[in-house]
Parts: sequence; C-alpha cells; structure tokens
Amino acid sequence: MKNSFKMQFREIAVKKTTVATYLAVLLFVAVNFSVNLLENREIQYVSQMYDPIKKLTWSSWSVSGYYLMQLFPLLAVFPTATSWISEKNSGIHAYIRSRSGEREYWYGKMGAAFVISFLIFTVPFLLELLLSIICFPMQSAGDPSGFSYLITVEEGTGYILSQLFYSNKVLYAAVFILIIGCVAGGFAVFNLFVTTLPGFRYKIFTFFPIYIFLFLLTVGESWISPNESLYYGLLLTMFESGNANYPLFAAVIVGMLAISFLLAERKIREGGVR
Amino acid sequence: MRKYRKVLLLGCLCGILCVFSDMVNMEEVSLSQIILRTTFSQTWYHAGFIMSIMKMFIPLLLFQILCGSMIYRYFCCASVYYFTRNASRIKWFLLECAKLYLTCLSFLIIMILTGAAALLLVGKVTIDSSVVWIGGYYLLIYSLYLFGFTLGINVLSLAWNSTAGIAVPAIIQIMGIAFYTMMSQFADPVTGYLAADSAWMVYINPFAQLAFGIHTRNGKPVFSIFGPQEFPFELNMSVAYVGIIAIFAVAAGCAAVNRHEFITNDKEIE
Repeated sequence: MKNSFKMQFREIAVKKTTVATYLAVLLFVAVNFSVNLLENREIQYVSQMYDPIKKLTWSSWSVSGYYLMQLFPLLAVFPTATSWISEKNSGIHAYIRSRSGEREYWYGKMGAAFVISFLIFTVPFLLELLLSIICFPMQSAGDPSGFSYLITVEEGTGYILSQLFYSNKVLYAAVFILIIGCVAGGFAVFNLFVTTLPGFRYKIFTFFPIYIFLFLLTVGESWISPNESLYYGLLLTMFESGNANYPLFAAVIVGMLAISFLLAERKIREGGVR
Repeated sequence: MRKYRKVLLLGCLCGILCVFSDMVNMEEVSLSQIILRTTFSQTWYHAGFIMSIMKMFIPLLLFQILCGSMIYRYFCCASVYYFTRNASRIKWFLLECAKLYLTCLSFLIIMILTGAAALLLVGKVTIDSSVVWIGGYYLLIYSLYLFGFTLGINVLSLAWNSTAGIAVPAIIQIMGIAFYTMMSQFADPVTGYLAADSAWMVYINPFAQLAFGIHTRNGKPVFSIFGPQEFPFELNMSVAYVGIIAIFAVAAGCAAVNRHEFITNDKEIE
C-alpha cells in the first residue's frame, strides 16, 4: 500500500495540472497577503489595525478569498480528476497494478488524491497564517466591519468555532484551514472514484461529478434543510455567520467518502474476477 | 443520436430541478415569469445572490461540459479515418457548428418546456403576450452564449488538451459571476446602483449579458423589481456581445481544424 501510494502521489504531484492549481491557489493567497500588507502600512497604531486572522484568505472579509471560493470545487478536483482516465488510456494502470496489487492500487490512488488536494488547500494558507503571525501584531483586534471589539464579540458568536476563536485565534485559523483541506480532499476522492464508473471516456467529463453533486445539493437544500444553507461557499468561510447547516454538510462529506470506498471496492472486485 | 438524447435528458432534468423546484409554490405563473426566473432576473449584483446565481448557472455549465467534446471527439477517435476522407474540413466544421447551435437551442427550449409542463401538473401556467419578446431574447442571447463557450471548449481542447479546454472557459465564466456579485462594492451604498461611469464593469462581463434583471429594453427595465439603473444596458447590446463571442469561436475553430495535425492529435492518452 505504501509503495502504491508513493508511486501514485509522485505521479500526480508532478503533473502540470497539479502545479498549475497549486500556483493558482498560491496567487490568490499572495494577492490577499499583499493587500493586507498595503493596508497595514498606512496605519500608525496597533490599536487601529485589523485583526490579522480576520483578514486571512478564507475570511469573509477577503475579496481574494471570495473569488477563490467560487473556483474551489473546480480547483479541488482539477489535479486528480483525470488521473484514472489518463492511466486507463495510456495503459500505465496495468503496470502499477501488477507491481502493487489491485487493492493497494485503488487505496493508494484514493490516498494520493486526498493528500494532494489536502496539501494544495492547506500549505499555502498555513504559510499565510505563519507570515501573518510574523508580520502583523497579533494583539490588534480591530474588526473590518468597523464596529468595536465588544460588539463584534457579542454578535460574532453565530459562526462555527467562534468559542475557539475567542480562546485561541491562531488555533481557530489553523483548524479551519485543516477542515477546508479535508473537504477539498473529500471532493477530489469522490470525483475521482465517480469517474471509474462506465461512461467516462473523455477527460472533460471527469469534471462533471462534482458539479452535478453540488447542483443536486443546492436543489435538495430547500427540501432537506429549508432554513439552513448547505452552500459550500457559506460553510467554508471564516466568520460567516449566515444560517448554515454544518452537521448535515459534514454528514454529506462523510457520505461522499463512503460512496468512494464502495466504488473502490467495486473496482477491486472487478479486477479480481478478471 | 445518443449524444443528443443525453442533452435532451439533461434539459429535462434541469427543467425539473431548476425551474420546477424554484417555482413549485406559486399558484399561477406565466410563461414569461418562468423565463425571467431562469434568466437571473431575481438576482442583483450583490454577494448575497451568489448561491441562487450558481444554482441557475450550473445547468449551463453542465451543458458545456457535456457538449464540450462534441466536435473534439472526432479528433480523438476517428481522426485518421475520418479526415483523410473529408475534402474540406472547414465545411465539415461549419456543419458541426450548425448542429451544435441547434443542440444549444433544443437544450434551452426543452429546459423551459419541461419546467413549464411540470408546473402545469401542480398549478396553472398562463401564456402572456410578453413571452414573445422575452422568449425571443432569451433564446437568442442564451443560445449564442452557450454556443460560443461550448465551441470555445471544443476549440481549446483541439489546440491544447481537453483539461485546459474546459478549465479556461469555466474559470472565465466563474470569475465573471464572482466579479458580477462583487460589483456591489463599487455601487452607491444608499441606492445599491452602480454609477454611470462604472457601467463598463457590466458591459465587459460575459455573465452580465445573461442577467435580465439589470437589462433594459428601449430604455425601460426588463424586470422592474430592482428599478431603473443609472445607465442603459440594452438587450440588443448583449445580443451583439454574445454574437461576437460566437463568431470569434467559429473563426478560431476554422483556423484550428485547418491547421491541426490529425495523426498525432489524440491528447486523451497523455
């Protein structure tokens, strides 16, 4: 399993699509960080500065983060979506499978897809967090809304993990980034394993599953959770106090992973029969 | 025929999931209301509308993915056999473009008709006089938009590969939506409208061409919930915009199919 994972991880990691996605995410983070730097350069006193955690890319106050969030599903699946189709068309899958075994191949692929997407959506943001800690004074607690600290504390309890933010804001940001990384990994794994179903002949079709899934989720939201949103953009944004159904969304992500496991088992059994 | 069946099936599904599910609670609805609802007229350039915009936009994106390999697949599966027997590739390409355009039109019509038929089962659907011009502009603008971008995917897939082929148009469109919903930052904080000198933001945005809620016809707003804007945004301007996109895509496609080396062009195995 370890060898299969390593082999597939290395193969996906050096692909042009993976590098392009990583650079694109890095660009969004760099733009956000530069904007924060320019904003803080104008301010003389620490007391007037915004809380650096509230200006991170995934924060609801970040314009760059807003644009990135709209591309999130596409970027999350982009490096790994075509992985199976490419290997199938080029025949390289037979080589890897013969060396590592059927089960090891599929679970290695699942692990590699998850880890690649997880790393793309965590490393640049953890780096931004680290740079923010170094460059900006962490004692500044200004809210970008302009309201006083006490008002924002009172109103700010509506968002997820808000208690953690008020006890340790760096830990809050780190946990949030890791959650987003896990969701990206979940999206990538689900998308990849749906493409193992018959009917996916062209690479272009491999971007279908995630969009169909999100479409059905938005449509089904009015029936499953009429008062609380399941929109990923709302759920995965820091300090977003909109009405969002986090437990159901977590269950959906777990369900996606469960479907991926079932599809992997199906492929393993198919391979064994042959 | 199988590929057209898939498109029609997608149209039916989107009609039920988008149009029907969105308007199922309305007792009486007119056909023009159904069309206006599908043309983002209930939304405004504000971040709060991003979810409803994406919900209505995903069917268009799914169509583009489904038909994004309609022409390109000839270069993947049958290029050597097929193109050695085709005297004029341009003629063949234009014929394929015509088929693609008709597919776009069929998809849009099926989507609206399925939604209207499903609504008819649970309530009342009336036909009003304004449906003629609203429907006309809807079909013209949306079909040309879909055609332009879907053809763009095919052409880019041919020129580069299908991954880049889908990524570039999808990113342009999604960024267009994100920019559209962020335009409220430049709007007047009291009225919520963009000033006339910011009109270029609307004019250049490909997504804004689809949003009938901010359009005008003969100087009057198409849909009056959000009131008149401070600058005209005529439907005819959007027809011209999407028409230019479509013409550009056809021209680029003609150049691409003519120059493309058909023996080494199956990029699907890379």
